[in-house]
Amino acid sequence: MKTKNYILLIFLVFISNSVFSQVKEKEILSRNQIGQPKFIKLNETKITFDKKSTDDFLKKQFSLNENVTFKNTNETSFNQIQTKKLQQYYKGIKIEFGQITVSAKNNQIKTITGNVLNIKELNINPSLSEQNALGYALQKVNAIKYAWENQAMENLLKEETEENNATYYPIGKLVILDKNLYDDIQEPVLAYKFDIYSINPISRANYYVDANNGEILLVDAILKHVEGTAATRYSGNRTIETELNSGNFRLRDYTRGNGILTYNANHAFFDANGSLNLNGATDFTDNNNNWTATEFNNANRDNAALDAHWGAEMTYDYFLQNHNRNSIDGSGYQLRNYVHVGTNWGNAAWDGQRMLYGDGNFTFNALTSIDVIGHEIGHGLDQNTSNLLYERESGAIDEGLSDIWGAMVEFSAAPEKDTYLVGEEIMLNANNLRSMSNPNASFVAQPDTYGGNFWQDPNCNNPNPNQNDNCGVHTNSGIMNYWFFLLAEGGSGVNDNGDSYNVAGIGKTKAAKIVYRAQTIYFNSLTTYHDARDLTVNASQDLYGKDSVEEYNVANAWYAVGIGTLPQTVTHYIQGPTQLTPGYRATYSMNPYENATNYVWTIPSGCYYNYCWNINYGQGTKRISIAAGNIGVHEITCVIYNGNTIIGSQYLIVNVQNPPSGGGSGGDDPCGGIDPIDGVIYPPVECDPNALVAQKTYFKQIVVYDFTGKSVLKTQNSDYLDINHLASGIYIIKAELSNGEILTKKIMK
Amino acid sequence: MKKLLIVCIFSFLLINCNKDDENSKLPSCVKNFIDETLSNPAGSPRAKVYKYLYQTKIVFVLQYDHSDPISVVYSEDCEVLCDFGGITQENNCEDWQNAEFIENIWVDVR
Repeated sequence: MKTKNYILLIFLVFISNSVFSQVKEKEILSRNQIGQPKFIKLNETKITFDKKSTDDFLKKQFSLNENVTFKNTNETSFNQIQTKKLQQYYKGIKIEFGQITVSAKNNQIKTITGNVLNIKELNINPSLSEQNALGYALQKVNAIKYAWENQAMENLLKEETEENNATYYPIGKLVILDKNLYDDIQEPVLAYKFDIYSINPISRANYYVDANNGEILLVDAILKHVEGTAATRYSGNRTIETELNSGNFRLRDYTRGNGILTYNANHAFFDANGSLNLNGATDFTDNNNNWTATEFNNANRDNAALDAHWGAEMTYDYFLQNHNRNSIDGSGYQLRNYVHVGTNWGNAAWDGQRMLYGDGNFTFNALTSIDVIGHEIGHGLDQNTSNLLYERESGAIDEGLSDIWGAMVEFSAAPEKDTYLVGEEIMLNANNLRSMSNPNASFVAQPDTYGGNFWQDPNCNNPNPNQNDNCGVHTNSGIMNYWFFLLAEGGSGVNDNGDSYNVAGIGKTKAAKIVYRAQTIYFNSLTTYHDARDLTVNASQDLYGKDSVEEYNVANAWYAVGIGTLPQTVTHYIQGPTQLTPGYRATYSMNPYENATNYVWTIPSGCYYNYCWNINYGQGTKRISIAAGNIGVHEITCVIYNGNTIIGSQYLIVNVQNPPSGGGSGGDDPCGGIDPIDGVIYPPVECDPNALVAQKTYFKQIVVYDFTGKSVLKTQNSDYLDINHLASGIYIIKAELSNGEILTKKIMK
Repeated sequence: MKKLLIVCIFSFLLINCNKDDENSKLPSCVKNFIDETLSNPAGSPRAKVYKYLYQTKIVFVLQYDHSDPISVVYSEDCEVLCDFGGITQENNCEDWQNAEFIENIWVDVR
């Protein structure tokens, strides 16, 4: 019996030791390049989460000796899962990148991930002094000026850290680093680690210097993505996002979606295999992130790459900021520009995955103007949304949509340019590639009327690229372009059908929102122009309600280009003054909608001195009183609801101008009048900036007394009291509000 | 009925043999283009191959299947001669207006 117990005990020790020291093979989900487990998931092996058990397990699992220790750097708990991050040390010296993450549930370890460095024996006494090692590092950086040499930066650091001794001057820390970080043999090396920040050229990185021989073992960039300045070919100096890589900057921006990358195709073109081989593409680089004209405006037209990079960034920003879309697929699709495609290639294309830009020839300059870039990326958007078949009418709509996005990106990024000319900067012998505002005047004339002059038969038998441009996709896109122009800006005339049209523009922003919704929600591969009319009307109803001014103008603009009938005039609209002065109080009303339960008004924001836009009363009803604020052209909108459903939307453009000096006429000039609607007695700033006396109630009666106490003017239940005809002098205004309150105000006229 | 079936099978084989035979005569660049196109999802417009007589020589026009598509003109020896299409619709094939269309070689009908 005794012998049996011993045997059992030995057996148990053996079993527990083997379980404790090594996990089952199937619990190791992945290994690193040296065969070391880097992801262990314990489904059967039981190990408790306490420090001793964890450390013992790790040491045995990774065959680490007694000189290795682990320090807990971070411990968290979420949803009953405990996690701790362990930093590996050897004889008290930190091992760079030796980090393990352990997670547990119910105090039992579930996963172990990370890397450890296995060190049998290592001398931890450096041969080099810290200063000598720094000398090697600085020799590698070779900067003109460093952050610690800039007093302003030094002062700011001291201020931010609240430490008088804080400095950017590098302080070496002894660490242990695997010299062969990515190889299959580990080689631990004692090293100095320096954080070196240079400002000319700008860079910041951790430099690892071998503590025995001064070899630079690793440069780990801290300052990775930085803003640079680019002297673009077509858009002047612009700020671009770049990436620091091995001491140089390259045109890679990982701050937008999954990235915007601009490559030099090095004149690659379609090869003898029938394919475009871009494997030889390289980065454009710059040593100080100041991409100057001296460097890049050369015979190769290298500065075209700067336009491509900036333009793609601006296109990304436009869709994110205006349509809440994260790149063309909505999920951060990486946008890749290839510049210098072909030799003297006068073209640009979206190849289904990336953008290709040629350098131009005798007809075209480099094909990287902002609208061309927006156009090509616009094709990528279409591929991810309506995916219009690129031939006949659907292909023409595809082309038109790309021109629209090119124009909107250009307007967003460079509003000083001519929004409605496409490719005006790339043409060497003409002023545009296409004109959206006058399609007939395009480089190759386009129609402005469906079926009108320059219209190509979209039902040609065989859509062929060289015979008919896939049944006229680049020609018939003039219809889409001109429709958008009219919708955004307005215009009148007689189309090729002899029909007179008069369209009131609703502005670029609203027009683009309608197009975006139609394209991303309603258009499909076979959408025709007549479909597009109905679907954009539908989109406008979604956004602005049925019977809105926007809907009317969408249909009206289609009528102008020969599609659909003249729409019936809108029956609902906002009534009220369109010319205002700061501080002027006005009433706006909407003729009532059937079944309306709520009228939500939106007015501008902004002030002129102390006169700010304000809704005094009436929100939620069909009539509001407002006070005008800052000078400029503004929009007052009203969205009409039935419950939670939008059943209408209207807007009115109002123009707030400088008030005339001196007395006014009473009507639009607040200097001469008293608006009693909500108990505000004013004139505006130059008359009396402190005139506001009450709000949100009605006057029952207003009486104006002269300085002798004589009543000179009186009104009851009036919206306005004109004091313009009163002689100059001091007057007392006594107003009785609807709640019985009496207000008095002294004014000087 | 048996005879009819035999005739049908024979005709089918003959047609396919002819097709294979035709395909084997295509330049390698055209065959590669077709293979590469078919190895990817279908694009728009459809990828196509046309045969032309251009400046007294047989050429093949490869139209790629994406927006602003490029059409590249290859010689029978797979030399790139010129191209057209793209956003500018530029055609840098000199005297292309006198090229003579011979036949459609292939269309991606997927």
